[in-house]
Amino acid sequence: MSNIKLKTESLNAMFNGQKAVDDVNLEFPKNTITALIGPSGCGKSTLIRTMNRMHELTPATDATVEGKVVLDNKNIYDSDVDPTLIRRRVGMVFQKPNPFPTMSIFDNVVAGLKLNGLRDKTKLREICESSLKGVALWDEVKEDLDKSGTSISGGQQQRLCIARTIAVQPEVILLDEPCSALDPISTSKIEQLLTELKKQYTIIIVTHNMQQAARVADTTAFMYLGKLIEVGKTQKLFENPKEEMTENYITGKFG
Amino acid sequence: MIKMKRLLDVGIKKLEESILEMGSLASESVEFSIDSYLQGQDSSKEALKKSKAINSLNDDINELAFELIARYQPVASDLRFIKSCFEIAYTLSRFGRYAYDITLVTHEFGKLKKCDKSAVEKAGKQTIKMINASLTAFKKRDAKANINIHNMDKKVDEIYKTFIAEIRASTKDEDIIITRGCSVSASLILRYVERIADHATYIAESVSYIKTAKKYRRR
Repeated sequence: MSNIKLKTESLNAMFNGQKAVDDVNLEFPKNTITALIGPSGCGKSTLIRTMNRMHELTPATDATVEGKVVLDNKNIYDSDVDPTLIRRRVGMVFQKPNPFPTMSIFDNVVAGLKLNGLRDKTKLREICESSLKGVALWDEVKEDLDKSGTSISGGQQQRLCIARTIAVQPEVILLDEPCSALDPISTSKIEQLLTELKKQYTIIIVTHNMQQAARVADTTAFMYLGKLIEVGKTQKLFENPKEEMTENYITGKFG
Repeated sequence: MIKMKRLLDVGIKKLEESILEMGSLASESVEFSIDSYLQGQDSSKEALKKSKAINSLNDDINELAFELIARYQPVASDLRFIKSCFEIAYTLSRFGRYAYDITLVTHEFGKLKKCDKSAVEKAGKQTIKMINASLTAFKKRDAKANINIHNMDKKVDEIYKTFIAEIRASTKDEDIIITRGCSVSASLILRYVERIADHATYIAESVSYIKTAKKYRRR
């Protein structure tokens, strides 16, 4: 059985015909964390947005995809695939914590489940508790589940968003710079959480923080101008990259 | 357009300069100690002073390299450079210490005028060439120099092996062979053991540093 959960094959992503991701072939093994690094505008956020068909939802542009994103041997761009189902299987956490501001902490966690038709209150409570425990937030908010999702700190909000993502039991979690708006302590908690979550999920994280990639990722991929320049074991890539461009980027000589 | 220099580059340049300064001192110290032995001069006090100066540079290099890691979290060639600087600085500090050890031989045994010192002279010259060649390789970042230096090392090994073989072959008198063998072997082993004992104290001092941040000078 293949160890690869997700892969891209000759993947191109365009905005109004302009390539933002250029012929990327990448594999993401199960239960690992892969970090995507590269300078701003290199296509890394666009790349992960193709992995749960969010790219095509980009407003006010003609956002298109060519090539394949294969999830468990099935191309998610095949005509018989339901994009909503894909987004349930491949969850996403964004740069800025975005709990639903009018909802309580409890409702934030179970929002996806309710959307999918689950109404059993006992079941919802169980999943809420296990999801909040899964992101190490339960002890901090268990007395305040009725309070607004925006009443807690930024770091807690981001963990709440991760809890909301895992509540629907995805298989892959995409994180787009999840710590860039957080303080170092909250960042550290998210990083610890990711290394725990990879036991159950396949994780792909976009980060501008190279030390973060070095700390949490098993594999790191470097992108530049839409192209995948180098991918390898994180330790190898940060100690002895194969490509001069990678070396120059990670040592801060450009970017 | 302003060409921005990475802050890390300033530290890396300083590290390089310090290694080269330390290397120059270490090479000079080894040469000085061998010359002193060849001329039968007890230069142990001067050699100790040089060794301390080299050790002091080793401390400075360690401090700087440590600071660069803490401040800039270097990666790739920067990280490899800094890691190598730790190792090179330690090695150079050992040269200073060995140079001092060489001068202690004259201090303990006298001028040794009647000894054949040609093997030490030959090996010494070759070794100094090697030190200088390795420092040039560092300066030029010459990744291929190690092959040449490795070959030079074989010559020094050969001089040592030949010298030991000649001690054995220089007499057929079994008693003398045994006595010499005992003296030479015990001297060599005791020296190594004595150095190992010193290093055991360094480990204990490093542990103390972990807990208290108190720094110890290597001896």
